[in-house]
Amino acid sequence: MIGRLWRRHRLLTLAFAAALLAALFFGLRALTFAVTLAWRADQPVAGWMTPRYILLTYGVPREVIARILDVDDQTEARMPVDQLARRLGRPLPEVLQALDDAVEAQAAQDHDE
Amino acid sequence: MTETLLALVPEWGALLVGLANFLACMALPIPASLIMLAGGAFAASGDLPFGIMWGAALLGAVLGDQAGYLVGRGAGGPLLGWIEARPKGGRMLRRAMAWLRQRQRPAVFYSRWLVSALGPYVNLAAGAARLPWRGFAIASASGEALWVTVYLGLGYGFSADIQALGSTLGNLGLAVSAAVVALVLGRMLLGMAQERD
Repeated sequence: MIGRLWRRHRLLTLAFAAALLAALFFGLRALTFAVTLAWRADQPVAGWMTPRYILLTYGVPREVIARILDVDDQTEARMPVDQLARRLGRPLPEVLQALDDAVEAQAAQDHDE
Repeated sequence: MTETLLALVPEWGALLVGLANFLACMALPIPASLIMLAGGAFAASGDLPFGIMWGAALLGAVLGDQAGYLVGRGAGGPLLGWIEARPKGGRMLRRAMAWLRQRQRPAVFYSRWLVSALGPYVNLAAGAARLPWRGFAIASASGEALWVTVYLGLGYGFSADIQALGSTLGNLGLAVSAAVVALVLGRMLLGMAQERD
């Protein structure tokens, strides 16, 4: 049956095989990401995050974030960190490092309590 | 690239979410699902209003579906005529069209969220096959409402993990879509094999 289908409907058979392979490939990739999602270490602070997002995700106190980024919660709430860093005239990696340190300090403090 | 896109979400909010959905529904390669996850996450943090974003996302998706349907209706005719004129292609095309007409609402509804990678092509095909507009519009709007709610809701609930969640769901969506294509093609092949016996 397969041989005959291959001779008469080559394109369709190829498309079928490609779809099967694609399902397998993306299924395995999804599984890999799902596993890393469960096992991953906490992701570092990134340039796209906003002050409020950092507050929600890492539990760093508002005052600490406000001090590092020189913001008050009301006016610059919707600006991501990379823009806030540009506004401060400081390089992004340096600001991210300061935020990561604050996250770590907070985690250590939570651990102690 | 992902990070640049994510950084645009808090600033442009509902406008970006709506526009991304509109373009993605017209088969443009925009990572609308990641943008919606991010929208949900920024709603959780209090940067963006959830309700307005939900409305904008739904509006963008529904308008995108309608645009795809209209394009299919306008440009699909000549293309279909050309394929139909070829003996083997014509037979397969008629079969595909019959299938789409028979199950128009489920086909449109499920391709909004469950097999969303196929959504834009179903829009074009639905327009080209001249499916009744009302049925298409109802199935499109209800499916998109589900899709928008699920993605914004997941972003809201799992705001800390949107990047990993986006990668997982994106690949899962492609896997399901490829499996559905394989199923449809497999059934067609099986039917053809039995026909000749």
